[in-house]
Amino acid sequence: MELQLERLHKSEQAAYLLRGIYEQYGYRKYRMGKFEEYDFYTEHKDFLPSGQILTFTDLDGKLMALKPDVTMSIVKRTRATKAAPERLYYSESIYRPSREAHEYREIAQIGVEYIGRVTAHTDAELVTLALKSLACIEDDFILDVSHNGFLSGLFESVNASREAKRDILRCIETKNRHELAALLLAHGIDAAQGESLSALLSLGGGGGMRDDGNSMSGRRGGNGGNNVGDGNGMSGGNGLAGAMAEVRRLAVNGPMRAAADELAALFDVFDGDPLAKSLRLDFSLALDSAYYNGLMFRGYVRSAPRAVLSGGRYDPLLRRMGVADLEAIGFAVYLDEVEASLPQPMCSDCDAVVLYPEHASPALLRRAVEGLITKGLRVRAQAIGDADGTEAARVVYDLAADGTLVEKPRPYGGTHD
Amino acid sequence: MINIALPKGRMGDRVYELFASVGYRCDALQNESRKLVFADEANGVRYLLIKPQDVAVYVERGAADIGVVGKDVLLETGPDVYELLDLGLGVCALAVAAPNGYTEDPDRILRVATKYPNVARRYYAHMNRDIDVIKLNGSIELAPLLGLSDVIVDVVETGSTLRENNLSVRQTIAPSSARLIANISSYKFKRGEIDPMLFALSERKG
Repeated sequence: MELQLERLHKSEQAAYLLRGIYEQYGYRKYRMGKFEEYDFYTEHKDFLPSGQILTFTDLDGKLMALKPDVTMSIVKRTRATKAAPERLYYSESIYRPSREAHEYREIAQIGVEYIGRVTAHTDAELVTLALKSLACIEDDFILDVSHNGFLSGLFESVNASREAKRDILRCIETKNRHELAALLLAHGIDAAQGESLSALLSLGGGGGMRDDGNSMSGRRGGNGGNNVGDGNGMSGGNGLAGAMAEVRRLAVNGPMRAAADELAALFDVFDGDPLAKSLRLDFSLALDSAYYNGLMFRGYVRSAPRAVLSGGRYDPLLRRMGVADLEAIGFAVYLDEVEASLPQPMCSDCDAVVLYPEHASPALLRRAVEGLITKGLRVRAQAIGDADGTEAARVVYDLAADGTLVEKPRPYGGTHD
Repeated sequence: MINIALPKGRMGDRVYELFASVGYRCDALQNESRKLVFADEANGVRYLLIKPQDVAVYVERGAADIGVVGKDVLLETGPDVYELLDLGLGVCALAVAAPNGYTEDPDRILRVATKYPNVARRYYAHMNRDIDVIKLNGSIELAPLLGLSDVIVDVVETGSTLRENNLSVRQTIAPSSARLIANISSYKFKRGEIDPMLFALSERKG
């Protein structure tokens, strides 16, 4: 029997299609257990988004945890070397507290990890995989790209307390222009540095490398480049080339210039590629220097209110876990967000119902049902007089005494096509 | 079409007037009605009237693309949204207030009555002060007068309610006013519609 993809739930469809994509690029499925020793996480708790871990005592008295993260378990067991990188994908459940519900949730994730030596080729491969992953979830999607090296380079150059920097970063993450201006003033940040920090909020380049000016055209007047407050503001219509020119202008030290080169090299790869219309440069992606050290990306689809994909370069995690000589990059797709937000296939458990009288021949009924199944229908046989459950079916048949099927007229005139 | 979550009540009326003044009218909304959703196809807006404390929830979960909410609520609930503009309406402050003549005993756990337990906890944790948070839903000023708490953490606009209850502001925690927030994903996909609105509102605000 063939798998009818359109009948699956959206997250099941996505998981099936994503596996196909990752295998096309030579990624191997990695399957792991649900549990990990709790001690493993106590050593690396700062890499987890929440310090809270669901634990239980195993039969031998050992404290175990239901996995709050997959990447750490993969890094722990990696056999990669510089010359022989590992390309893995996984489809697992993780267990984390939900901020909204204040309870633990099982979160279905599918993701890819590349461990070895990360080059410009690898960056391009992972961004391609991320773009293709989003494309198979929904047609309308955006992949925001940022670079941790650029942000940390900029923050290193700013002369302010750690606390002030944290508040400034929070403003950048939330695109909060008004409070950023107040903070810069309150902390006496140098005007040039202040301008650089404010400019990060304005960078929204996307819609391809070429400056076609049409990608974000406004509803009113269609100029797409309306700014808020400053003269170079919230355009987004400049394309990646325009955004990259601004990134180069803002790069004032070695780490920032290196990051700008890396971003430029990545965007060059996608020059002219149809996928590039969904690429954006956005520095509001949270800076998590404990985890990420290079490229970061986050993916959105139109129907989901939150990101459905997140990832980046995570060498610091490898170094902390004693894999000092390797580099890694990866991302996860949040299937629970996909499931919760995207339209699901019509909720019916069968296409056809065959109504049969109690005295009907079981052999004739079986033959009739099998005939419909062979045509690719999902069929339920139901005795006449049983509780009516025929509303969701596309077609309802009566089983005649000679074993033929007689289509019953439906109130709404629906017929089997 | 942009879905806009407005806080029900006086603040919502003022915010709607601001939106209407820059071209986002929806005449149906001005007619007295018990409806909660008002759309104006021509202007490309759909207004949703929502309890002020719930606006950020609607926006964070994408039921509304943008919304208007007080900074006090954002500080308390910490939703994952973009905060795009300070509308300069409903200006007030989150503050600690105590009965006139009250002297704090630093050797005792401070009893704090508030509608904003998270704000209060963060503020006193920053000062390394142990507190006992008493979560109330209204008439906070009553708590210290009846000995339920030592101080209160609440929004203060003109201070007249405090004065009438023989209380005064001791410390200001954070300024507050109405903020325009956006769902992170909606902002990315509807930026072409939201940015012109943002621009018009910021121009109008001066």
